[in-house]
Amino acid sequence: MLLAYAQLSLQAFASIFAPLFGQRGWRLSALFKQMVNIGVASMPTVALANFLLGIVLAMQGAGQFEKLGATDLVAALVTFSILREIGPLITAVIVIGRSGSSITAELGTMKVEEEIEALDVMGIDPVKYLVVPRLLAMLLMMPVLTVLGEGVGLFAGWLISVTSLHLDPIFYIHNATAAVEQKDLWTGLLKALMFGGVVGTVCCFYGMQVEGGAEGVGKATTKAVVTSLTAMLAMDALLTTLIYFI
Amino acid sequence: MQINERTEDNIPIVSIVGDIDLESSPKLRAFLKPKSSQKTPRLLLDFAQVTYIDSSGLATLIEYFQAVQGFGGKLALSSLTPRVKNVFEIVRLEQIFSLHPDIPSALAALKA
Amino acid sequence: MSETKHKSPYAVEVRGLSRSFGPRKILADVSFQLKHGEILTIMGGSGCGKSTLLRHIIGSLKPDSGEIYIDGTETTKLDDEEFSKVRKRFGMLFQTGALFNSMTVGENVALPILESSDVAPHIADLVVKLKLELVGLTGFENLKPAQISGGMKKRVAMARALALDPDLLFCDEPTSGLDPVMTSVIDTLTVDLTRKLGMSAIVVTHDMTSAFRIATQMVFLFEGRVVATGTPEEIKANPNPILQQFINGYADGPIPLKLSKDDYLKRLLQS
Ligand SMILES: Nc1ncnc2c1ncn2[C@@H]1O[C@H](COP(=O)(O)OP(=O)(O)OP(=O)(O)O)[C@@H](O)[C@H]1O
Ligand SMILES: [Mg+2]
Repeated sequence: MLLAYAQLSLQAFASIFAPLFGQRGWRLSALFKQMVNIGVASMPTVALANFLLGIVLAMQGAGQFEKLGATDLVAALVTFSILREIGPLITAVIVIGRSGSSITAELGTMKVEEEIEALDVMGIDPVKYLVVPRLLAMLLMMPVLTVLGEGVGLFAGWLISVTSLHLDPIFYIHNATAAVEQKDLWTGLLKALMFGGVVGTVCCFYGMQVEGGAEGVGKATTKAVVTSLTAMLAMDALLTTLIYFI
Repeated sequence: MQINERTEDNIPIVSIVGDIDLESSPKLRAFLKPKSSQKTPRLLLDFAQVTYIDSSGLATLIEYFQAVQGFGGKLALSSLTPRVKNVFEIVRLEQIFSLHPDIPSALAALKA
Repeated sequence: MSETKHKSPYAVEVRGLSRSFGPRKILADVSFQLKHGEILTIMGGSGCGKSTLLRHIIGSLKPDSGEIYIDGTETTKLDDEEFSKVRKRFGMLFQTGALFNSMTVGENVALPILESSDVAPHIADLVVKLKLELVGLTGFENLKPAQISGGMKKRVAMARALALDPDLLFCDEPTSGLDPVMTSVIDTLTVDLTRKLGMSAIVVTHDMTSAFRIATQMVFLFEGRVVATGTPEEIKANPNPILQQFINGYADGPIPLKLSKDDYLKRLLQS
């Protein structure tokens, strides 16, 4: 199982770079279609989730810091946690639920309907034709969505602080920028990229593995979502350890 | 596939040599493109040495024929081997293309 | 179908092919040959292993034992890359059609052309038109598979299988679900392609009329074994009672029917 997953992932990454070595490559049009499916269509949900979390963070923070008489720290808390952790994480969760599951279901249905076998017989490599555009779209769109989500989340934090917590709007921004470094932004994006790779490979793998009709598709989709979530969190823990504690 | 062209009585005679398949039909298409943009009034394609033609080859000829009809030109094909002729017949293209047993009869048809 | 020299007198040769799924032996020591330019029909009852046999020949499944030769090349030992070269000369019509549901009829037929060559989209469109006309579906390019009937799907699948002018065509029940006229159209097409263009074909079919119309060779499977092979005349003359029951479609005979046997009543009453 793990071996088959590794094999598919390796093959997919190799196929991504195949055009560089003069081999017949994947199609740009297929990639764009998937970028729209996976990325553009997820934007409203990602924005909404991040917006709500931005609000929640600011209010929770304010509740705690008020006791210490340090509501100014809200800006630091919101910015710091969204860029480093919450933004990439919640975006990945949304993408897994929305796009990851649909990748598995779509590929799985193609598998049970013998479409993948048909590709094979036509001499069209299903990995190159189906997996590569989806994986690449995940790799590209996860950071893009994360940036979008972080932007919305930060704005929500500012908005709530200024309107309900009566913090000074300019002072908030000053505090916020002082609290984080550029590194925080980059590590967040690195996380997003890695999450995209994990989610893309896991969901494609489960889709290509499907056996046993509609029931099989359902089971595989559930497994893909659970495994993606777990693997994504494990990856998060690992990256956080590597980046901030070593 | 090779393409050789000569002119007889002001009519270009184009001899195609070899297989017209997925690999070579783009070459034939590139050859025919200027012929249609120059509105070549009459053209003879000599198929005597065409060993094989696939559907993409047929499609290339159809595309040229569409252009020819557009500017009121003429196209004739000559000397098809039985096997190549069969390919035309299976998709009933012998009904739209003017096919001739040899070059003189094709030239005569183009001049008519 | 270019004028290449054949490496072997046989387009397809199967030797001693066996395959089990778990404890169930599905194919047992199956052997037969198909000469270039001929049509071989594979016949036999539902579930006797015909589709499974075809899947082995096209390389979707690997046999437990036995060999398969495509024009003299042993394919069971080829790696994916080498096999995909052999497959470029295949056309395959799946029993279920296996059309790409997300694509239109036209895109389905164009896919093998666009993916395996650099021909212009306009040329591919024209090829699609030629192929759809062959199966009587001119004008249906823009419908999705979900919008056409079962028999039409079969015919689109046929058009797609023929898209690259294959040397070797595999059809899994190409005419099931077709009306008699369309059945005849598809049969004539298959015969024309072999007679006139030298294609070879293996056709799985239950339709005896159709089989006797197109076959130059017949293979008859029963419970995963070849019980008879031969020309249509030889098969007709073969006294084997299993064969005769099948050809003539008698309900009663040596083929164990799942109807009205004591066994069934006994099982029914067992708790
Ligand atoms: N992937 C598989 N796993 C387990 N058993 C299988 C598998 N594929 C086929 N079988 C079994 O193999 C047997 C033959 O199936 P196959 O599809 O080849 O039959 P068939 O002759 O094509 O029947 P039909 O005429 O109904 O299409 C069946 O009993 C089926 O249960
Ligand atoms: Mg079957």
